[in-house]
Amino acid sequence: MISNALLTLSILIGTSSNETVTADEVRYFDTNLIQIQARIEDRIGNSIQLGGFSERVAVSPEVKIPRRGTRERAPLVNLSMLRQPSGWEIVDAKISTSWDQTLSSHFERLSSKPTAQRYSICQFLLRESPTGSRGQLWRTLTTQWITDPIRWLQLGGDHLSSEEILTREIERKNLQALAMKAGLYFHQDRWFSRDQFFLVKKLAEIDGHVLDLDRARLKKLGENDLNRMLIQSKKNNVPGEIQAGTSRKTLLSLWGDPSQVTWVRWQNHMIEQWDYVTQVVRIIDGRICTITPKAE
Amino acid sequence: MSSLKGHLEHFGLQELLQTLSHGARTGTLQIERDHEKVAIVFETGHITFVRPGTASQIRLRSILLRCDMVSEQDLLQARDDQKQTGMLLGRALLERGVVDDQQLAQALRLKAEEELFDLFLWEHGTFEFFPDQIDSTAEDQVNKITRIQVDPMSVIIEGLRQADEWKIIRDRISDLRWILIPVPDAPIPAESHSIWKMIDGQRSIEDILKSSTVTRFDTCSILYRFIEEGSLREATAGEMLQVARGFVSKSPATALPLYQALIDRAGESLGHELLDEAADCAAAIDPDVQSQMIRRSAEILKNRGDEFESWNRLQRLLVLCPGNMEDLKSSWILRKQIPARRIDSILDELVKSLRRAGDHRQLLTVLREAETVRAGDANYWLLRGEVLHRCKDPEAGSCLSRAIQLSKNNQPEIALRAEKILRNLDPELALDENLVEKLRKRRDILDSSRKLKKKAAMASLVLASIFLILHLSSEWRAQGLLAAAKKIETSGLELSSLLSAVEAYERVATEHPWTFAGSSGTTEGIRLRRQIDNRRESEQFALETNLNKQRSERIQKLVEVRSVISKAKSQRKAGDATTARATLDSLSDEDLKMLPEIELNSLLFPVVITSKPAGARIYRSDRSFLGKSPVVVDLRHDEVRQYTVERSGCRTSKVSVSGSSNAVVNVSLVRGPLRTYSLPNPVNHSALTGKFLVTTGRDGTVRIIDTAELHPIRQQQVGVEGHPAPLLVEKSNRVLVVPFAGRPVIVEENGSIQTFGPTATAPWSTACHLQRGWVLGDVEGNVIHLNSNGSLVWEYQCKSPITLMASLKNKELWVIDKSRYLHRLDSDGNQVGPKTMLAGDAAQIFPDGRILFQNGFTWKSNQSTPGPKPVTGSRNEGNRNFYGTERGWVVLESNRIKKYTTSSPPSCAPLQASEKTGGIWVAGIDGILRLQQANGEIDSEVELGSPAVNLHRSSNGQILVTLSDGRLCDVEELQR
Repeated sequence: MISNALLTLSILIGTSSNETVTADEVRYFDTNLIQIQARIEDRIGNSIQLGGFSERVAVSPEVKIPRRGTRERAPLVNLSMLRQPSGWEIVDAKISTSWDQTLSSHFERLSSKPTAQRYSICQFLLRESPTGSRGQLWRTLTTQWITDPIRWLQLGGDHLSSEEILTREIERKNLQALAMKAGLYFHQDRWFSRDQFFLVKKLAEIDGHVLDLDRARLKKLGENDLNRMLIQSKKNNVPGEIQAGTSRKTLLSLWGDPSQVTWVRWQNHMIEQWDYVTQVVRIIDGRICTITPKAE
Repeated sequence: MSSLKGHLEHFGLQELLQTLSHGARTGTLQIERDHEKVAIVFETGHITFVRPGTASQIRLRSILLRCDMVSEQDLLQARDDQKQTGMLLGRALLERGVVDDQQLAQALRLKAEEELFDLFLWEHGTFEFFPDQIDSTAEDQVNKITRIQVDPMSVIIEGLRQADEWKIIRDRISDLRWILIPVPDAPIPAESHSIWKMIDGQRSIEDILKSSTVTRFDTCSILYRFIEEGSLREATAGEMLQVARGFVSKSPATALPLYQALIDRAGESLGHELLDEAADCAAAIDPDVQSQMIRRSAEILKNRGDEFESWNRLQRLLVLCPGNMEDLKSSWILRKQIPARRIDSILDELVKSLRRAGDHRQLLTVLREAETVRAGDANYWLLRGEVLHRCKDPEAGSCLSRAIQLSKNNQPEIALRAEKILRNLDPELALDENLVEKLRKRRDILDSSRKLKKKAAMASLVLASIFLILHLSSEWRAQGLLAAAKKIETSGLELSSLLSAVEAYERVATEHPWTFAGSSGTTEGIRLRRQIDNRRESEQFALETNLNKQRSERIQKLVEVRSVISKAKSQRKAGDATTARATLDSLSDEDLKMLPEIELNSLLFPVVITSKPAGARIYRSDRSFLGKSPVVVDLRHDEVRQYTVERSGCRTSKVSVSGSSNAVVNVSLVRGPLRTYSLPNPVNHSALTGKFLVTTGRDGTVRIIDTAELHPIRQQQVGVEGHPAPLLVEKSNRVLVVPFAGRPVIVEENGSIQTFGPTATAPWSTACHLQRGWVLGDVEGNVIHLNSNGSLVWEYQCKSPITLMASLKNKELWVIDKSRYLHRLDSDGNQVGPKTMLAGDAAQIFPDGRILFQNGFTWKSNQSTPGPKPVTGSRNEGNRNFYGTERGWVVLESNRIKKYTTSSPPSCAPLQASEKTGGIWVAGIDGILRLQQANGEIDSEVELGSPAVNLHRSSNGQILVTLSDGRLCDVEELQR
């Protein structure tokens, strides 16, 4: 088996790329063998998920993938990947050299690459850099994006959302208008990426449609658990107590007005969610079906 | 042990070096000439070290400079190291890192070669070779000398060449201390210009050699050539003397060799003047040289017969070289010139020196010569006898007898000593035993008397010392106190400081009266006391003058104050209380304090009590009626009185007034609303349509209230209880009621309620009017336009929950979603331009297209203007928009933002008052409705009891207030 793999390698060596690229750049290469640097995010069975590469990658049985051990983050690894009919397969793996070397080698490559590939390399560098030096690195990358500051701001938004350095640089360089063009949101004196802003505002984007997160959940609940909710709401209840089956009127008289209300209609049933300070009450057709403690 | 020894006259240096080199010898060759010794170390036939006879550092220094290996600064620093550590110059430079081993070896090699070349000039001298001894001295080992390697054969060839040439050069340049002078008009040599430049008529040849960058031999060769070519000549003796004199004061070390050269060259013609000058010059450098010069000068003078001048110089010598026998002898020879008092001391010193030297013959001669001077001195005769006795001269007996004779009474110890010698000389000549015994007794008596005197002297000395110590101690303490007193004096200029200083001085004087410090203390104390007295006097005078001035000013001021009071009284009498008060207010508190108490107590200050609204009844504290506001009360300056202000429909108020209060005291009376009606549930929104007020609350009910009766006429459940209150949108006397869930209704002008539009499929989040219809937006991002009948006209999808909508003057509909996008739609629901991302969360869209953000910024046409943060909804009246802020309210008109402050933050958007009253009605969160003017003045206050939800102006001109607790009340704009 080993000899077969070696043979394949030697045949394909002619069509391989010599330089070590980042996981984010794989899509720009059509070679059969590629050397990449990546961080292993997850491993399920014989396939692994790499940071910056959306496809799952198979691992050749002979290859030993370096383990995370007691490290806070999985180590950065140098991988040799072979294109198979079923997808990419890892044929060699070893722990990468120091981050400084990785950084300097990819930094040197930046200037010679087209914009899209350069953007991918920057994404890799910012994602994989140590948290403490990420802001400084992003600031250094400004030289690479002098002609396209929106991209630079997008990089900042992706990796430094709501961090002080992002806000400080935007204010210092007076790039507020460009930041908005780059899809960043100014909220509570900080600049946020779109994803984080939506998280703060409790919004969710489903199929290009932005919804309130609670509403989206309620819809899903109606879709999945309607019958259970109906059964719960029809339970007999002890008068004067708030429990499944209690009417909306009793709830109001005992707990008062909720701080927030949302409702959806599903198969002619009205499902409501009433938020109190510590509890979330779900009501179907005017009767309580669930009472859950409010998540932080 | 040496193996080779001889004279240079027989065995030249050339042969020596050749022998040792060819024999590959190891050892040290020592060559000596006239006290000058040179050691050459050989190692297997090679010269590795040369220890010169004279100090060599000067040469090494010049070689290092010549080869440009070091700077003058480096040499100075290295010399400091040399002085501190005693190491050699080369080692010091090496340790400082100025030169490396190679450079030092090169310099030392050059130095050794030059030193060897010099040896070839030695025509006489001795040599000795010590085989296998390579450390010439122990010092060399300590100093870690640097070994070099010089080939003796190359030295021989060059040395012989140089020696030949030196002989020729020395004929012209015999004395290196001499100065060379350029011959005027002689051709200046083009080559060797650096050496030519050094010839300035001031430097000696030796100086030039030291400064030259080429070897000594080469330098001398060049100088020789210059002299031969006629470019240079030797300076004359006169010129030399002139230069030497020039250097005496600034550089005696430079001048001295010049003088020495002149002295050496003078020969027979040498005069004492030159020697005296040279001696003066040498005084600063070398006292030995100076002594030699003076000695030679004294000798010359003595030879010339000028004994007096000779003695003068000898006197200097006796000071410079005390005890020098030659000088003493010379002085003794000149004894006729010497004053008698000096002769004794010179004689004594000479005798001492001669005795020490054991020169008895000479001593005897001197003693015989001194007989005339010391004939009556027993000691002299004893000494002479002793010397003669040593010389076995028979005359000794007579001398000793004479000594006995002269001393037997006063100096028995001399007599006894002489007798002892005499007894040794010839027992026959010895004195009688009785006489000897007598002499001994006499000596003992004199000894004891001398001892007693000595003891007494010692005791006196001890006493004096004790007294001195005590005195010094007292003086020391007194000086300390005196210094402290001086410090007190200088520490401050206040009188108290000076008095303390006087006390301190006086204390020094009393406690230590016999000390210098005590006496100073007395003097200083008197001086300072006088100074204090003077100062007191001047201060007293200044005080009196000042008091007189103040008194006259006070009287004048009092007259002025009284005239003002009299004027105010006449104004008050004429009924003009305000002017009278203004006149009195022109007096300050200080002015009033000048008045006598009785006069001040009789002075009354008019105070006007006014009320808002006016016409209130004012009562004194005893409930006696004072009058209707405004009233005037006259009060003493410090008199405080309380008054009660009452008016129907207003809350009773009490006010404290005193003569020092403001001229006008205004009492703002808080009134109550005209009518109040309580609804069963709290109200969240209210809108006015015609004569009906529409309210909604979280009970989901819409209520129609007749504003004339202030009573509900109809109500209908439109939403779900517990849901957010239904929204109200008023337009053209119709009010659209949009529930959170369910179907909207419309309240017509006549108060009827009709269902309107479709049932909600998702919670309605906002609504507004558009043309004749209405637009509703929901949390699913749907926007629907309904015409006046409630039929759907068009739909628009934003794909994000709608947060705000408004129709603009230009008939555009602006929709803002939760993703912060602004969608601009025309009246047909078509999008106008691309959607725009906004910089913040919008709070309000104004009809002119201005957007107010929740952080207070307003935005229009991509221009942001900062402003205060809104805390209430806004109210649009014409071109002006009003909204409440944390500190008051804001009026927004075009680009201008005007900020106003209130005592309590508003609970709802302020309402512009009618033109009659002017100002703004602001309902505070403290439950009080205020009519406030732009200058902050409050015209009227109405107690509501709880925060208002909305303010409306009803058709009958009253202010209709919807309160959060469900009450409704109406308020008169102008109180009757």
